[in-house]
Amino acid sequence: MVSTLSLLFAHGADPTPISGDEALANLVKLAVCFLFIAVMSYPALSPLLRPSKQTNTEEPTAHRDVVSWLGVALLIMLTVGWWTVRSSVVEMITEPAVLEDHTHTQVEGGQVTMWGDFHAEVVRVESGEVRIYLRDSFDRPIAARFYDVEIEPLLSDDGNQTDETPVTVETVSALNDRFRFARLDKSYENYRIKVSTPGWTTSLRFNFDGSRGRHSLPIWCAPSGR
Amino acid sequence: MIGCLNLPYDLKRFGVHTNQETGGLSIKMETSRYLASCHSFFIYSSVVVLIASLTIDLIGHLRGLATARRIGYLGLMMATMGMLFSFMTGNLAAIWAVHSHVPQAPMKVHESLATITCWSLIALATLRSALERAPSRRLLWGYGVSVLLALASLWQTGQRGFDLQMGASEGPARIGALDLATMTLESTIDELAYSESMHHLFGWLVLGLALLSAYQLGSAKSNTKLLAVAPIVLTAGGFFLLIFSDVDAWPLATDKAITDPEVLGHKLIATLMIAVGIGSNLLRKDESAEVIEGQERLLAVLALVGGGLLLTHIPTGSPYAESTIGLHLQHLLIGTLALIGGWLKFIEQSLSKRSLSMRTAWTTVLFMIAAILITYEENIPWYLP
Repeated sequence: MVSTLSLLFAHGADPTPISGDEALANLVKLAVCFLFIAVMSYPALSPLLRPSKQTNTEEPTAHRDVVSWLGVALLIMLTVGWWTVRSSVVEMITEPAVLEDHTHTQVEGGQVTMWGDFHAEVVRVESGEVRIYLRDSFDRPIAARFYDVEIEPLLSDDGNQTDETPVTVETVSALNDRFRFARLDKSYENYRIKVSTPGWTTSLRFNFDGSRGRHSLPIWCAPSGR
Repeated sequence: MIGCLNLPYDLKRFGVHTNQETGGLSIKMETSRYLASCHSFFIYSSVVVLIASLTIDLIGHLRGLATARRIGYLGLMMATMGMLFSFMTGNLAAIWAVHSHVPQAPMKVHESLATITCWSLIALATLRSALERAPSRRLLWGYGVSVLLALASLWQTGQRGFDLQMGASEGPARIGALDLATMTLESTIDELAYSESMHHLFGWLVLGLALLSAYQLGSAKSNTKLLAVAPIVLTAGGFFLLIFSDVDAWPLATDKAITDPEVLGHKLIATLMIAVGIGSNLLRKDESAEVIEGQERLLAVLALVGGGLLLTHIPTGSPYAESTIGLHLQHLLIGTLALIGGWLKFIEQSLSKRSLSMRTAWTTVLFMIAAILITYEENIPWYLP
C-alpha cells in the first residue's frame, strides 16, 4: 500500500519519486488556480448566490437550483472518476510493477556491468561485431550521440592471436541511435572498452569465453530484426 | 541584458546535422535560442517593475493616493505578465542548458521554485483585484502576508538561478546517467499524433466559441437558445479533456502519476472548463443576470487562467527533445493571446460604456487562438520562417 501510494507520487521524466519542492509547486498552482477563478468570476456569479425572493411557492429558488446542479456535476464526476480508476481483479491481487533502481538486466543478450549510475551492456555477435548499449540505473536507454566508446581487443588466454597487434578501434553510432558498434575480427574474444560520457571516462574489461563459462556468460547472437 | 545567457550550443546534440537541407531548421532553432537568451532580461525587468509597483502601491495605501494605488495595481499586473514570460523563456533556456551539460537536478529545483513564484504573483494580482473591488482590512492583511511570501519565494528562485549561472560558467560538469537518459527521451509518433489531434479538436471547440461571439457581436437581440451553446461546449469539452488527456494516467497508477506536472496541468484546465461551463449554464437561469456579459466574463477568466497555465506548462514526457522546443514556442503564442484576450474583456467590462472595438478585438483573439490550435504541430510551428 505504501509503495503504491509512493509510486502515485512519481513524476515525469525520471522514475524517482516526487520531491518536496515539486509537490509544493503543484499545490500552489492548484490552489491559486481555484482562488483566481473564484475571485474573478464572483462578480458574474454573485446574483446566483444571493437568496431570491420567492413570488410563487412552487418555483424552485436559485439557491436550490445551484445546489442541484452542483450535485449533478459531482455525481457525474464521481461516476466517471470511478470508471477511470477501475482495476481488474488481476490488478487488485497482483503487486504493481516496480521500476527498480540498480537492477542488472540483460536486455540485448550481452554482458552487463555498472559504474556510478550507468549500466553498460556489451554484446559480441558471432560475426565479430561488438555493440555497446548504455542505460541509466533504471534501465532507461541513453542515446548513442551522448557517449563515445573505443574498443581495444586483448590477447586471449591461449595466446591464439594474429600477428598484427590490433589498435584501439573507434565505434560508430547505430542508425537508430540505440547503441554504438564496431566490426572486429572474429578471433577476438576479450576486449577493453573505454566509455566516455560527459565529464567521465571509464575503462571496462569483457571476456567472452563462450562455453568455457569461467569468466563470463555465454555469447549470444544479436536478436534478429534489431 | 539580452544575450547574457551565452550558452554554447550544438545542433548535433539534438541529432540534427547542419547541412544544406537542414539550413532552414537551424534558423528555427535560433528563434528558440534567442528567446532563451531573453530569460535574464524578463527576470530582471519584472523584478524591478514588481518592487517599484509594490512600493508605489504601499505609498498609495498609506497616504490615501488613488493614482498611486492605480499605478501600483497596473505595475503588479505587468510584473506578473513579465514573470510568466520569463518562465516560458526559462523553459527554452533549460533545454539549451541541458544539452550544454548543465546538471538537471538543480534546474528542476529552480523550476519548482519558479512555479511557486509565478503562481504566488498570480495570487497577489487576484487579491489586489479583489481589494480594488471590495477593500477590507482583513483582505489588506492577507494581501500583505502574500506579498512577503511571494517576495521570499522570488528571492529563493533568484538564488538558485544565480547558482545555476555560476555553475554553467565553470564549464561542463560530469553528467550522470539519469540526466543522459532523460535527454534521450523522445515521444513516439503515436504520442505526437494523439497530442496533435487533441489540440485540433479543441481548436474546433474554440472556433465554435469564436463564431458564437461573432454572432452575438453582430446581432442586436440575444438568442436565448444560443446562450446554452457555450456552457454545453465548455462542460462537454472539460469532461472529454479530463478523461482523454494523458490516457496513460488512467487508472491512477505508476505509469504516469496524476501529480506529474504535465498531467496535473491538463486535469486542472479540464476541471476549470467544467466549472466555468456549469457557471455559465447557471447564469441562464437567473433572470436578473446579464447572461451574455456574465458568460463572456467567465470565458475571459478561463482565458486568463489558461494563459497562465500555458506559460507555466512543464512538459515531462520528453522534456529536452527537439519537438519540445516547438511545443514551448506555440504555447508561448497561444498563452500570450489568451492573456491579451482575457484582459481585453476585463477592461471592456470595466468601462461605463460597451466598446465595440474591444469586443471585436476579443472575438478576433478567439479566432486567432482557434486557427493556431487547428493547425497545431508537435514540432517547430509552421508560422516561423
